[in-house]
Amino acid sequence: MGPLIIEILDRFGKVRERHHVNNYPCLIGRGYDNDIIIDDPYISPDHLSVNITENKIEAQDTNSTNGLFSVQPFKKQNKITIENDSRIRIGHTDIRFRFADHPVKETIQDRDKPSQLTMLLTSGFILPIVWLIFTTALVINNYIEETDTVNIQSLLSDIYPLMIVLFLWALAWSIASKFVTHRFYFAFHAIWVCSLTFISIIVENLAQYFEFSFSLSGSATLISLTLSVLVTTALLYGHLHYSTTLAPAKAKRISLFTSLIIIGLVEIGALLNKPGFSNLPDYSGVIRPEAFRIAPAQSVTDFFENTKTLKVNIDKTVEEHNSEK
Amino acid sequence: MININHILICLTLLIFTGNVIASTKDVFKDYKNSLVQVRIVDKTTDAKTTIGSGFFVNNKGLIATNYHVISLHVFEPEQYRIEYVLHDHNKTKKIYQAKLINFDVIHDLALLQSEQKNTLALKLHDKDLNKGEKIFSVGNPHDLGMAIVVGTYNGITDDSTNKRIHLSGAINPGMSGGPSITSSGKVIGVNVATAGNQIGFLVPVSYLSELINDKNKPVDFIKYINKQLLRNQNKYIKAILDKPFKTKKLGNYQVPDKIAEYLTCWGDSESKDLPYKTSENSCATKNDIYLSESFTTGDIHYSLYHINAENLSAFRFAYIQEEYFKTPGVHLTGTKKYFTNYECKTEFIKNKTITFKMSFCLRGYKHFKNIYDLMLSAISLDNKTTSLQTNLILAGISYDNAVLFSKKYIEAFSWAP
Repeated sequence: MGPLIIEILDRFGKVRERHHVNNYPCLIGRGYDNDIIIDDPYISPDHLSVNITENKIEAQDTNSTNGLFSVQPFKKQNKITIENDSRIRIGHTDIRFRFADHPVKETIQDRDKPSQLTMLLTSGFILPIVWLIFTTALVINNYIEETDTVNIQSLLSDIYPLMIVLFLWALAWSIASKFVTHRFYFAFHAIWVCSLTFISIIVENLAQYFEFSFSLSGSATLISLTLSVLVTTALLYGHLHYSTTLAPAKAKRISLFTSLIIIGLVEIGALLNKPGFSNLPDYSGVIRPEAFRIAPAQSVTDFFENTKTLKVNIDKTVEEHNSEK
Repeated sequence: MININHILICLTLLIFTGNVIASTKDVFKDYKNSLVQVRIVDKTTDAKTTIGSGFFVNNKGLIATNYHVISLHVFEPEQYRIEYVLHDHNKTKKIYQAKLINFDVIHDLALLQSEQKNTLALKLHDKDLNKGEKIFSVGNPHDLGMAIVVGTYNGITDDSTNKRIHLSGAINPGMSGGPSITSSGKVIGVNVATAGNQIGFLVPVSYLSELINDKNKPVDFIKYINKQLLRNQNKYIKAILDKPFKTKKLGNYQVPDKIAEYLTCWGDSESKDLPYKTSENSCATKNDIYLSESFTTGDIHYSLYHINAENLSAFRFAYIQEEYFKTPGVHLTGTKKYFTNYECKTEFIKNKTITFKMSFCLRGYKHFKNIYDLMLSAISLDNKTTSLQTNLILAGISYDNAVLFSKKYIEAFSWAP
């Protein structure tokens, strides 16, 4: 059984105060002459006395105004025998009784004993390596995409703005993490945002190669949209995990939800901005080296055989327009 | 639409500034009463929105003018009515109502029936003129009375799907629909357009004779235009498709050359400050068919770009190809009121020898059936350092002709020997 601990609970059932009972009887009430004083206007100045008798602990109503209640079942009583985890109510306050041998949950391992990956990501020396790889990848990507004459200065100056934005982003998260978890993980946040930007560039490229190779109009947009939700979720999760004390499952949910909202809003905005009428056709213009072409080239006759659907669709639009009139 | 260097005399009223020669005026004083000012009047405000000219072609009150002068009435008859103004001998003007009875949208002509009877008609010329002969173009802008410009007959132009008389003389806006008269006092053509700098165009009078003799009395104007457009495009597309396409060498490719005599073609090349060289060829019609305000059709246009990038990687070259493929050098214009959006089909195709990525796009005309604008873009993929990009634009053609023309066009490409 061991010594008794009295826990005063708040209205959500969380422990507000804990008291060791060293002497019996232990008096509980609103008055200052009690062993445990509870500031609840519905509790009498002398409300309750906890006594030990013949190896039994009992809570006894000491002529209170509002009485003593057992919680399960909820019933007014004059005297209640106390066991481990017993719960009573006086006034508007719940009181729980636990003995010193009450079992507790296993200890959660703190991040102060980090995994090897975390140690790697948060150590300063890997940041320059990641930064170098990232910068090189960006420069190569811009170089390939540039249809004008290029030189190294122009390529580098093109990536400065992005670099500054990413630096400020990582700094903001590091400062947030310093406030919340008292740790300044700049290296991690910088590596994380660089890596995920790098991944999103790769994903974007792969989606376009896919669209070209299989001649699937519009697939690149769809693929990169789906993957950008995942990449944004991963980005936010990483930052949240290292700058807040949120439980992993909750951090994942928040990240997914936020990225869906951000990308959803961006897409809705793009849809709203799309002109209803355009004098330019909207077709998949992605061209990659011929070696990546997987879809077969159709014969001219076959191609035009399948253009009738265009006529059907247009005729339908025209008919709809005329019937509206 | 594209390449409008001959802007149709745009319904606007400009003050006449031509040379009025006193003696000429004397010559034509007898014809003054054959000329009218045609007006389109907004029924709501009762104010004129368009002014052009016209003239009596018989003594029963039949007036000839340009289609483009009265096009507002054709598309919105409930909103606009047609009136004409006649100056009598006392120099007082009288306003009469007129009714549209027939028109030829292809040659830009219209016939109006007036309330008047016993009108003084101009005679139509039925013989050819010689180049250099004097012509007098007459119009009636504003209330200035008859105005005459002296010009020179320069033959029939061969730069259009339809014939026009080339006049060296200053035809002014507001004279649209007025007659151009030979020195013997007969109508040789109807004033229709100017290209500025003393270059004017007339609709040959033979088309007007045909229209006068035409027994059609259209009730549904829109359907009537639809019919005329379909018949016209069938005629000129068939004429092009009946002959094999002439080809010429462009870099290492054999490409379509000038495929019709009335097209105008240009060439250019560029390599300045770019990591690749381009050679460009393009051909286009000079004028189009006017249907209504910011609504024209009938263009033919194709452009060819040869891209040569010997020192670039395949990856960078692909992005250059993409830029050319995605962004056509020219495109048709139009508004939501008249056109649908484009619908496209994009695939890899192979003609006999070359693999292309090709996009075939069509858009519809909201007022007409089976009339479309075609926009085709294709780029060759076979070669690692050279590529050929082409755009083909055909405005106002049937679906079948769009397909036939595109097929023949894309099949005309091959490797240069």
